[in-house]
Amino acid sequence: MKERLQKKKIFLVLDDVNKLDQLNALCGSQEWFGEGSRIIITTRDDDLLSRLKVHYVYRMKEMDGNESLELFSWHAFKQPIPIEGFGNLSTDVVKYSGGLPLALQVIGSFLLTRRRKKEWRSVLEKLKLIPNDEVLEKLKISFDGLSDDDMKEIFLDIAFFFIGMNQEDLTMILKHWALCRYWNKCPSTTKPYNC
Amino acid sequence: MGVDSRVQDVVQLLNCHESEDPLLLGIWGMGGIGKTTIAKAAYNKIRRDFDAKSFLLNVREDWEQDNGQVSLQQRLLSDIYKTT
Repeated sequence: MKERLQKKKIFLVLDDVNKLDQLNALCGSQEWFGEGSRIIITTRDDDLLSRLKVHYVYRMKEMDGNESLELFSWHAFKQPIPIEGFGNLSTDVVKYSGGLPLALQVIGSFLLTRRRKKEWRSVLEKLKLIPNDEVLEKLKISFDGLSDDDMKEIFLDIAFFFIGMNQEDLTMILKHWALCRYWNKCPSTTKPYNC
Repeated sequence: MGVDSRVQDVVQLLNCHESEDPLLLGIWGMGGIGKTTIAKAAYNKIRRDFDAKSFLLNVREDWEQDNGQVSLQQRLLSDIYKTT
């Protein structure tokens, strides 16, 4: 492995590392990497980073209550504060989302099209049952609420492949993708060649 | 506060390293706070500047599988070769 990796300018990301062994196996001695190489390690373990002697540590902080409510409101109401009548419900949803940006954005967007308080209370009841460190379970509330399999597929595509992409580019891809789905459902029609 | 400004910070840290040695950057935080999102966005933003690249998702989980270590190493090598 060593010979093959040597002298290339490599960009390596090791996501969710929790043991030193993993780093030894995957990026071992740093002599393997050519000039200008970059290695990012994401981890929940602070101690691991200090033992590794990394050059920099970027610390992600949780948002406080006000920041959380604002982020949530942008997604749920398209404005920085909750609309009238939804103040307490919003505060509760934020409280049980554990200050996690991803959960706040996903659950906020999910509630954007829902304006019946009954629907909000039902989401809140589900959130309360899930411990704060079970993020995936929290996100699953909105995923399970998507109406059909196509929507679920789009959600997963966006979540996995398009992070960090320019919004205009993404919109174009999704429009093209929707068009392809349409063509593919009408087999008798001539399809655009690149679908 | 937001993904963009955090990605900017991380990319800046990656770029300001003068030494010839590979730069090792740790992103630390609790589960679900967005570490992977930031790493992925930084990766998508600057990966074109490199000869070879690899993003190994969920190392902790894959490591525990049978043959986990070998399959992670294989993924890494195949990524590096693909982009040569």
